[in-house]
Amino acid sequence: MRVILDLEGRDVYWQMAIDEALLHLRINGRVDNTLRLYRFKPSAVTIGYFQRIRDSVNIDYLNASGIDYTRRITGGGSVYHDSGGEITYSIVLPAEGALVDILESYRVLCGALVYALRKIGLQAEFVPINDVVVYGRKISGSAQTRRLGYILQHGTLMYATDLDTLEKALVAPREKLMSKGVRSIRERVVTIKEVLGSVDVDQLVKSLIEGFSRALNAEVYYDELSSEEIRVASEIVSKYRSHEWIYRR
Amino acid sequence: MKQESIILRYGKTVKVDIVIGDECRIIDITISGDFFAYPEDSIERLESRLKGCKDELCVEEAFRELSSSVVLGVNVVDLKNKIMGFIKNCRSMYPGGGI
Repeated sequence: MRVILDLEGRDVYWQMAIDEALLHLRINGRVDNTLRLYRFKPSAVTIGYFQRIRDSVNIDYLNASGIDYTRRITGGGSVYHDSGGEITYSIVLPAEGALVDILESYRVLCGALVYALRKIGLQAEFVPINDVVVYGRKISGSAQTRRLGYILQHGTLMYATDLDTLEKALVAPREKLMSKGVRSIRERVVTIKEVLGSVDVDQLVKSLIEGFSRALNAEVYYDELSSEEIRVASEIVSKYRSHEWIYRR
Repeated sequence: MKQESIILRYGKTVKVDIVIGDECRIIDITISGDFFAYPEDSIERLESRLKGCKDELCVEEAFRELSSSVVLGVNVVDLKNKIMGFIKNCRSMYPGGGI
């Protein structure tokens, strides 16, 4: 499995374009199975493919705070990506073996996150469909799309996310919060730093890579984004900036 | 007549925004939320098929768009019943079908 460490940080439009480019290129056999770890710079919000932007985020707050936002090609909910407190992963690979079944594939791939979190001392658990929780509070959410027999799954891992900003940026239906037994988004989420007091990001990154390697029984090698990946992403990125895409629902 | 409704399942939310017009016909419908559907465009095809429906049979047939899809976080039967409920509700309010 190819691993790309892309932790310097780029804007949300570029990061979403790179993920989509990786999926296209994996489908076409132009790249190996690839795990990418990355950050958003500046901080940003992504919403799920089926979400209505006005139901999912506080647009006035995002605009006033200079927080970029766009829509993902994957389903699921809105996510605040804190440039200084969150690592995002994406992985592209064929939907084969244990990954054929969609629910099981979430379990397998989120298992990498569970492994990484346990490795650094947290009692993490996978909660279907797509969450990883610590002490019942969400620390990671993932989302995947499938095209032509290949999976793109990406997800967040909050190690020191500013949860006050997260709460101001995102909107959750009252019904959803009630179903989770909480009164606010803030009560529903947790970061590694909150639980452990401090975070060794290098160790976390290492544990994540080890987690995916074990979950997929794959040896890893390190690489960088190719010129082809950058070219394809450059052709896609305007979609993620466009009003038409962001406001399509 | 505009209506909306939220359905919950597995902690996911599905919101139906619907506009119903003359003869209790669906003029516009958006199914949104934090659920998952594979392939994703099956939901857009369903919305297209639902537009113009004014009875349960039409809604039932529109939902065949999802027959080969995998939808997670949505109970498709609940969703279908909810949409049929909008039409029934319209007919009970406007027995002649007018709005």
